Amino acid sequence: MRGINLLLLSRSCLFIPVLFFCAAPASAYIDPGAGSYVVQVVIALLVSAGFAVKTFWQQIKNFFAGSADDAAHGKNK
Amino acid sequence: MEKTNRQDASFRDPAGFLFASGGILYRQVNAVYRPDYELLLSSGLYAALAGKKLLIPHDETDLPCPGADGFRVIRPEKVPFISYPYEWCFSQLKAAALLTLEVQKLALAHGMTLRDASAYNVQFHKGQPVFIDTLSFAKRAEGSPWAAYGQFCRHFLAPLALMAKTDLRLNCLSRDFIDGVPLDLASSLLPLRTWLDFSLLSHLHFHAKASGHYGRPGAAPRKQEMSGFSLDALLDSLEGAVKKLAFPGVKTEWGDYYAETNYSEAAFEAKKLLVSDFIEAASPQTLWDLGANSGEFSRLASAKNISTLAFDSDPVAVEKNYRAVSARKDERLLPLLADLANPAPGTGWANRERASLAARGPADCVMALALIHHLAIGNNLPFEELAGYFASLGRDLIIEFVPKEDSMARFLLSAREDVFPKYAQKDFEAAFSGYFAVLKQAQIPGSGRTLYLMRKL
Repeated sequence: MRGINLLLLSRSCLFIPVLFFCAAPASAYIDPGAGSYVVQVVIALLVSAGFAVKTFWQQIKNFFAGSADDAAHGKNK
Repeated sequence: MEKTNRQDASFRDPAGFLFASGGILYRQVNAVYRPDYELLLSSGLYAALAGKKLLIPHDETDLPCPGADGFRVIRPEKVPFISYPYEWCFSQLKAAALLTLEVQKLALAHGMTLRDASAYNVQFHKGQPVFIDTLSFAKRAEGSPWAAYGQFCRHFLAPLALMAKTDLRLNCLSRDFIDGVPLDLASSLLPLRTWLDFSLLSHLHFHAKASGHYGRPGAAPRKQEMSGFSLDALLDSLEGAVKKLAFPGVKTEWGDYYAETNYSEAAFEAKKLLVSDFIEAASPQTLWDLGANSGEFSRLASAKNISTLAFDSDPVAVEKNYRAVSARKDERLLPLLADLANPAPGTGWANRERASLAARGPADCVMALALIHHLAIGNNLPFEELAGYFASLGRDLIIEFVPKEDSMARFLLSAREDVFPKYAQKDFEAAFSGYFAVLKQAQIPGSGRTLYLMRKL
């Protein structure tokens, strides 16, 4: 858990300099939607690997939980 | 068809609109939305959402469409009271955020997506948050990002982060910013330590900067594409960000009110019996408990199957009440945040999109226990003003008069000059007799307080 926290913290630190390249105050004639499109693509890119591992791990847990359920179900027959 | 009334909350939506006819609320589905509406049903998404009680169920009707370009009229299940995000406590807003993400995940799994992620699409119904906008779903074009991502961050993540990390009272920003808290404002109000939290750094701070940069004329980036897996990853990240935000440990003036009052346990129980008796005498179907604190007395009404709203201005008290409602699975009680000295006004376009508190009434019965001294002494509001406002909110009134000699009234007077020579029981009765007739009256044992049941003249 501590390792994951450190990983997240270091990811935040690496991410901060990126902000200064796109710093701009809000004003009229701004379409906030365009920024949201870019941001979600970037964030999805950054979190996809972790999500893949999480999903894979969940599938393994579900597989064994399913096997255990099947075994329990069979025993009750 | 009888005379129809278009509802002001839905006039922005090209997919359809809400209208009332014969006291029943309907929604017209416009022809332009027909393909998406039919996909909602044929894809199994509607059945999945309604089955899990995530979306308000509806019936299709044979009624003619009252508006131009109509395709069908549907009748959604009635939500008795429409509340707004700025009236919700922290956990209510968090529950609404998680519901919206769950709805979007299920929509993606059925080849659809949420067109918008407005917090106004969620209502609290039978003790649970539920999505109410049946026309928010659209077919997802292959590779398209989530168009409502920015709105989700403004309506949910930004106010939740501000409440958790800066100040619990900042949910009030949602009242002024009807399309959600601007991200640059949220970013500037959040403490520096949130820059070390990847979720808040990316979804709020970076998002705010990028919105300013790419939103300028000519700076829009080329078309972005996202796979379904990337969208799932984004939603998982948002869900993690919301779940991680915790209710801040704060102590407020009235958060421990019941532990700090001058009531003995016996007097408190006697007051409960009296209030319960007065509620039964009024026999209401709807009751608004004003200044409800954490809902101890509101529960007397909801336990009688009365649809009850418990209003308080203290976000900690409302939070406590909501947690108790959730734990007890109380379907008849809805705790809400409201400052009666400054109740929710009509907001949005022409002040008509979101109704004022009074416009969402009246209730059959209004209850104002241990409240009059806060409004009259704490806020300098004359009895005549209070009587008039209470009369506009409901038919019957259960009200407790707290004399100046009471310890809680003395506490209010301790830090201010006593400029309230007309704060006496006879003045109270004279002012309220202009609007109400007293049906019942009783002394609360063990206190100098008096409880009244009044009916509007």
